[in-house]
Amino acid sequence: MAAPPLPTPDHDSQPFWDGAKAGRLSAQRCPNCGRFRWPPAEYCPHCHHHGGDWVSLPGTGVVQSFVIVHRAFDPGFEDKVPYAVAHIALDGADGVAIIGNVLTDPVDAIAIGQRVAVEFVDSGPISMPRFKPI
Amino acid sequence: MQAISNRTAITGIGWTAFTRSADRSVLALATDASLNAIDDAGLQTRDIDGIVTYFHNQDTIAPRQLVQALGLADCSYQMMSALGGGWACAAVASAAMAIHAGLCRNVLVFRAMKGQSEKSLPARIAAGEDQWSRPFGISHAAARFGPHVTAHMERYGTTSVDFGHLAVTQRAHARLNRKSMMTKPMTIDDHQASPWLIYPFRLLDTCLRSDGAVAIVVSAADRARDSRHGPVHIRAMMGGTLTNQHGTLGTPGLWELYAHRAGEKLYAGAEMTPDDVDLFELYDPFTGICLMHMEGFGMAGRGEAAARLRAGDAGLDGPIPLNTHGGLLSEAYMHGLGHVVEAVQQLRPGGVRDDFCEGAHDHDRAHCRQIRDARVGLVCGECGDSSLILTCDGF
Repeated sequence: MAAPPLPTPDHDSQPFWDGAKAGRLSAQRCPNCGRFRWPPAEYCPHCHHHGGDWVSLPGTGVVQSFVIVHRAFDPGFEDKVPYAVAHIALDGADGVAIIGNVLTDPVDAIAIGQRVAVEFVDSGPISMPRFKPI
Repeated sequence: MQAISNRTAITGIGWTAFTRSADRSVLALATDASLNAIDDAGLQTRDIDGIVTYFHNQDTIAPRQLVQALGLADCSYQMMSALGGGWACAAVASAAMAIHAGLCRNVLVFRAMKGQSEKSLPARIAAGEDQWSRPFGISHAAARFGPHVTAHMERYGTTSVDFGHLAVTQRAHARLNRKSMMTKPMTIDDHQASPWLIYPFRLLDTCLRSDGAVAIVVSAADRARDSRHGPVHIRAMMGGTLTNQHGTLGTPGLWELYAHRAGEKLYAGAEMTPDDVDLFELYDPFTGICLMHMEGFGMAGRGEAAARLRAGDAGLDGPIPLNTHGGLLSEAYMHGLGHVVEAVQQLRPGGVRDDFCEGAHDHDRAHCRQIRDARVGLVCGECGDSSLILTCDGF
């Protein structure tokens, strides 16, 4: 059985995945203009300052939108359908939304505007964030 | 008007059969469609001096392979873009620009693939921007673009039944197209009974996978007058993008596609408004995304595409005929270049040639898919990342 592909951290994203391993949801903020950015990058897209600070977030957020996958086109997800994938606007990081799985029961109980909180699931070298309603 | 307005024209169109399993190579498919397009233009292979194509997931051949297969002595311009369906109209624009710049006389644009019989499996690694999506179960475009449509439904009250109206309309069009892969009649009930693939999309909201090829010849307008079927002029073109933080092509926010920005610039470049357009061939990977294209290119106001579909406005005899060939949903998945072929057919003096009319077009929808008084057509690729306005000769 194929497993879901794990993220491959890179120079830009390593601090995020290090934070996840420590049970911390984080995002990058520009020390010059103070604005958050996503995805992680060396340069601020707003003021082009070089460098960014990693800020720990509360780990809560709001579902902006979602899909529910009923048929897995990736064999690594065949035993997981149906599952929801959402865009989640993160509290404490204005303008940042990340993609994540939201666990509700039943799966179609997910809704736009729903508040959610992160938890981390250990998958070997990586800890994967996932979200549950609060 | 754009500096290139009306300086280039589409003179040739060609295609292969569209199937689920072509018993021949992608190179053979590309060669077949290209020879058909060159012949359709009334040209010889030696008249072709540029080749453009595009792909997704390395599923096609390089221009140099077609140079070899067609036995071209020279090729003054080649272009091969990895941008997929967003680049469908940019492929034609790129050919037109090479001609207008004086590099080439006639450029061949093709799209060839075995999208069904040799479909690729999702990558096992999730690096770069994919690390933020693929590990969470986004491997299909429906999951990547679906959230934009779910948000549209929430904001405007658009429903799955509305999507059904588009799917049913396009199926009716496909049934008047000899090339179509899907010709079984479809009702709203059929649509609603089809299973969810990736909510908000059912099976019948989702594009086909196809084996086949289409090709187009672009020529300088002043040399195009003698072409076999008459020129279809390129009045305006756009090819750009914006991206959001999820790396979704051409989607600057959840409630907007690049189409919403490009439409304005495209119409300005053509010195036209949506009211001037007689037919729309809009990229339709999923019904809901096509509704957003409709709104981006001014076929309907924001949130109003569903009402126009329910009213039947997008039919062949409606005020805004849409995807008159059946599109990616019902004709075949030719990655948007089939939409250009259809616009050209509709705008030619002789009209479409692969419906079921015997003799002249009579607009009887039992066999004829030619729309009345077709003079201006608009075509777009995925998210409106590229688009064209085409006009009939003498417009």
